[in-house]
Amino acid sequence: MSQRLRLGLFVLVLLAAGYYTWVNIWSNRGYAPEQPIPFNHKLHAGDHHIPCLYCHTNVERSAHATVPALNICMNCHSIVAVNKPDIMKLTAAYNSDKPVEWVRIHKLPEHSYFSHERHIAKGFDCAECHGPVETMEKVYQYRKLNMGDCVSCHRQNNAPTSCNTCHQ
Amino acid sequence: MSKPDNKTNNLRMQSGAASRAAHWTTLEEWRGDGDVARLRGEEFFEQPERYFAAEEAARLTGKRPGALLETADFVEMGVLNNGGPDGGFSRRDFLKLSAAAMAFATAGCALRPAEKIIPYIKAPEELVPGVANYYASTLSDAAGTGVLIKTREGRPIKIEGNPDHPLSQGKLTAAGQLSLFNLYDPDRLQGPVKLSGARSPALPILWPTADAEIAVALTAAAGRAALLTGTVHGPARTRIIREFQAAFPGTRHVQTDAWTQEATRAAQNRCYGAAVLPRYRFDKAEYVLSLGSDFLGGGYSALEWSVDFGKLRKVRDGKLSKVTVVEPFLTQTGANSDVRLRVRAADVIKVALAVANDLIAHDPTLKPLRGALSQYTPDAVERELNLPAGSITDIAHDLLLHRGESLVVAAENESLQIIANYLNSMCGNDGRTVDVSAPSLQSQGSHAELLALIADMHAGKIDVLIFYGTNPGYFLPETAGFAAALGKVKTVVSLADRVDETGRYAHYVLPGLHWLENWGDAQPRAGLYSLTQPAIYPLYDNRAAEDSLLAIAKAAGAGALGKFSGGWHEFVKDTWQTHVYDARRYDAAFEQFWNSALRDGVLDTADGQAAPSRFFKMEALLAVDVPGPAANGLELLVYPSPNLGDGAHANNAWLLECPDPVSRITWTNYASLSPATAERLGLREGDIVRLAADGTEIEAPVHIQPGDADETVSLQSGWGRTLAGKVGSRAGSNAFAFRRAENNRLRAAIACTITATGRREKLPCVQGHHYLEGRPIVADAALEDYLRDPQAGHPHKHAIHSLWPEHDYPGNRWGMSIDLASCNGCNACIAACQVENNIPVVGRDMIVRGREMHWIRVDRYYRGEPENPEVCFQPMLCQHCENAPCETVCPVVATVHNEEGLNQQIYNRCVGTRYCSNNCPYKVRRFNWAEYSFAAYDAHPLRLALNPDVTVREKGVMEKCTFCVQRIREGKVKAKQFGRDVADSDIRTACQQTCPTDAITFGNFNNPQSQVARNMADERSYRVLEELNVKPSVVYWTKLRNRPSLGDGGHHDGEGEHA
Repeated sequence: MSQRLRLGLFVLVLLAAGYYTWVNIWSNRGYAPEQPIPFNHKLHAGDHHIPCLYCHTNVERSAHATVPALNICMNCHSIVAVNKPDIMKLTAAYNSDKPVEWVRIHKLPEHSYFSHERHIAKGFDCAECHGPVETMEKVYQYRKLNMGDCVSCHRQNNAPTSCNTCHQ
Repeated sequence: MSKPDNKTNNLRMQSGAASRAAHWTTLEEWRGDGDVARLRGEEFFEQPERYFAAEEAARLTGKRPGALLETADFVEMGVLNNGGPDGGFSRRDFLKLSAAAMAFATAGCALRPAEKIIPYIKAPEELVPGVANYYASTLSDAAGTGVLIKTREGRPIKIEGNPDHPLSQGKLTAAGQLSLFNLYDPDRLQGPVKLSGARSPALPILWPTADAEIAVALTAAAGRAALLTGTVHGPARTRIIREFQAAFPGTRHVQTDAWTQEATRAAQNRCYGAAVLPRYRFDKAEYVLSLGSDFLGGGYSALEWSVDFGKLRKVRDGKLSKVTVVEPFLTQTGANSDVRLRVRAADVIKVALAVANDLIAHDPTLKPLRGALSQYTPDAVERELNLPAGSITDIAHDLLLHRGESLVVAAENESLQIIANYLNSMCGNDGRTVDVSAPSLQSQGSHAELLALIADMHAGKIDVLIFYGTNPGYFLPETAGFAAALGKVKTVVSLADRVDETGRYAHYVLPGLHWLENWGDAQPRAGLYSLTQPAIYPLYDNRAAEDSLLAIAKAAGAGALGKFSGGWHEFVKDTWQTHVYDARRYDAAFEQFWNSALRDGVLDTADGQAAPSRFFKMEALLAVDVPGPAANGLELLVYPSPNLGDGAHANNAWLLECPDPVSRITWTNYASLSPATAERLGLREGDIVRLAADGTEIEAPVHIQPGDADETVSLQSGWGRTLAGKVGSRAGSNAFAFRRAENNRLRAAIACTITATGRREKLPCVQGHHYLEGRPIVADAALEDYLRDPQAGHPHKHAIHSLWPEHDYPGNRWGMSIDLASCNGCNACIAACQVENNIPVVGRDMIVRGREMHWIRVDRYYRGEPENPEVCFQPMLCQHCENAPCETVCPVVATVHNEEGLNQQIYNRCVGTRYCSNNCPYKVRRFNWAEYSFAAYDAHPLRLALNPDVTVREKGVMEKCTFCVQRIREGKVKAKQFGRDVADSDIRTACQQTCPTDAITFGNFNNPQSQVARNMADERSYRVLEELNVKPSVVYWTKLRNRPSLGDGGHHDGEGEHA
């Protein structure tokens, strides 16, 4: 193999690797931070079949699905599993009026507006973007959720792609 | 801006006339003087060789050609910093910036900045994060305007008119909307303070301690106490004062305002035997005569009147209301008149008497009066005041023609008010357009009572003084001796939200709440009740003024208040039960009644029947001051600011930057002079002068205002506060200094002198950055011309061939129509747009450089001679052109067209080349030259006012009107939920929603049934600069005036040729 060919291959590999990094560097896919209370989605949504909307109450009427207020947790946990250490932590927070500071997992790029309400109204399943949450002991980001991801899905579904669909 | 040598220009010089279009914006443009002519010549570089020759000459002489003002001029005026010896920024600055840039760049690389989500512990039932809640409430101003407060996640972010409230009818003034920022004012006190003496430092104190100390003082005072407030109405707000007086017997209550309506009430009393403030029915007045009254900009119920007035300023079956204004300086009302007579302040009454004289001539029963008025025949007065022949008989004729549906309003002067009452009674207007069946309670302040109180304070008869809602330390002149009188009072308590000009003499300042944090009520007119409810928990450790009264009474254990267990909230509710609910028969239980009153915010119990007309007492006419011989010298007139009110809004940067409706000047007040007077005095625009009248002197810049009467100086009050806060304490000068306590003389002309200081500054005016270049931007026509030809006044049509392929708009297509005949230049749209779209203020220096950020502006054009020009207002915003010139020049495709006809600006793509702005024929694009948003909103808690639905723009980014794309999206979602097409009512832009005269219509013009499509199809509509073929999505309706035709045409009139 000539020197020149090897150099050419090297550049190509470099370019491909560069492209891959460039595309993926802007995505938080797979992000699964530690939470102050290790809430287990597999246990709640999977084993106990609690519907998503039981906790994420506003997903049908607001842009935000909203992380539930502690009073929703207390609906069950004032009776259920009250003496597990994490639940005691939760109860303590509830009783002392100190909110739990969850670490945000899903964050769209700056300058973009996304409405859960419209997507749910169109009939998309939560799993479309959030993946098999009912199997996740620790929730991670399932999709890229970057601009390319949004736009390609909008194209596939014949949704508008003009700029101020998301940027306003 | 004129150069010194323009002083010699004769005003009536006709040199520019040949190439002049009908309209003009500044006097320089009207005169066509050197700078304008040169700019016009240079616009397209017609002769490059000449231009370069001039450049070369400039290089040799070291002077720059072409600029209206040299850089040195700006430096001299303090507009530009010299920036060191070489004019650029220094090496140190460069290094600092580089370091900052590096820090930001690396910070931006962090992939996963941990962000927290903090949910509620117990979620409030009515609150959904991401969805706005609206609460009905009432503005705290004396007018008692009902509003809706939009809150997001518990923060008030916008104030809109309450559609159910008869005073606002869903509309709101600029001042009302922008009062939102008073809530988030960083200069508010954050807890009670005690001052050991006048001007001593304020030290924090605990609420119970303050209450106890004041209670002891009040008990010891044994009736030698007084409550000093602004106008107070509303069942609970008046009752708490009564109960407080009962708890501390002998306590006096005095209401006073910076501007009172005592003359109106006194004239009513003299003419009809009852001192009331009438409710004017502008919605029934086909003919309005204003005798010096600026009812649109400065009346006691200005918003209600603007809305009602606007209803008849629409062409209805060929009919349009008519307005004649007689006034000494150009006001917003004068700018909206059909016929305007420019006379000096003292001469307004002569015109009024001549009108009365002419009317009497038609009525043989009034012969005895004729003798008294014989001196004021229309002919003689017209000749004396140099008015057009027949102008006074025309007024009398119009009054007769519209018997029962005309209205005469007058300035706050007893004689003028009496004549206005007489004219109204004579023309059968009383009981129709002048309604006293439900009199207004919107102004109850009395200057005389304030003076009596000051005298008693001097005499040592007052030991405790508590005041709120008024600031006499600011609006009284030093000669009134208010400060000295306060020094004689043992305990002075201020319930204002800061240590203001009065509060600095207080011993305790117990900061009250902003009305958005507070309960309360209002009764703007008899039978109309309005509720105030809090939309946010108090931001600081402050307490409602009324709660302070309750707490003090409780600490003293005095009277019924001392036993009252609840707080101010309970008190309001209790009052509504005992005074409103129990007084009438309602089927519902009280809780139900209360909840529905809270939801609606308003309760109108008046039957809506106007009272029968009253009997006018002829002897009242004898009290009219017969005007003396014509005065000759310079006269000063002080008038209230439409934006700052009595100065209460002075620390609100958004209101300081809101332009004056007529002069379009921001951030300062100014001495306004007529062109001829300025010429006589040798003064130029921006010269700083010293105004002096009986020993009082203040400095103010000169503004030359076309339409002002000669030898008249007018000066706006509300400016020049000294203790307003960071921004308010530096803006303008205090016109109240000229008030003389003894006769409350502000409403009359004051003889004054004016001397130049030799200093000069460029006025921060938002009009006049550009010239019309002789092009027809604004179209106007007389009503009769319009009725003959609906296209009268339009620019003539051009045959246009397009280079561009047509766009395809399969679904909606957004467009707007604006009725120039309805627009009264009030700035409400500007305010609504700013609050809705997070538009920051940029400050005085940036305005001077032409860098304002208002997405919608209101352009003011003059027509005719500068002595008394006609005025056109034209709201100008992004025209969302189909062939948008901005789109084709953007190198990074940051501004693009969408499938619904919107011209989109994508902030994160914009790199700030500003090519788009350069190529925009309408000059509506706004550039972030600095971090305006951070500067404007970063002071906590101002950022709480931001609308989370709109991106906050940063430095280096272009922005412009989006047609409120967030509202379009919201409306579309709403329509989709119901599975139907978008209707007109689904989407209303912020400017459209608040426009008091409904001048703006927005909608989908792909739907031929929509109002905007019908408006666009109307022959009265035209597009600005249609010949450029940019195809704007905004159409304008010709401005119409109900006056005889002047026989002039439209576009290219007087230009004589057309290429």
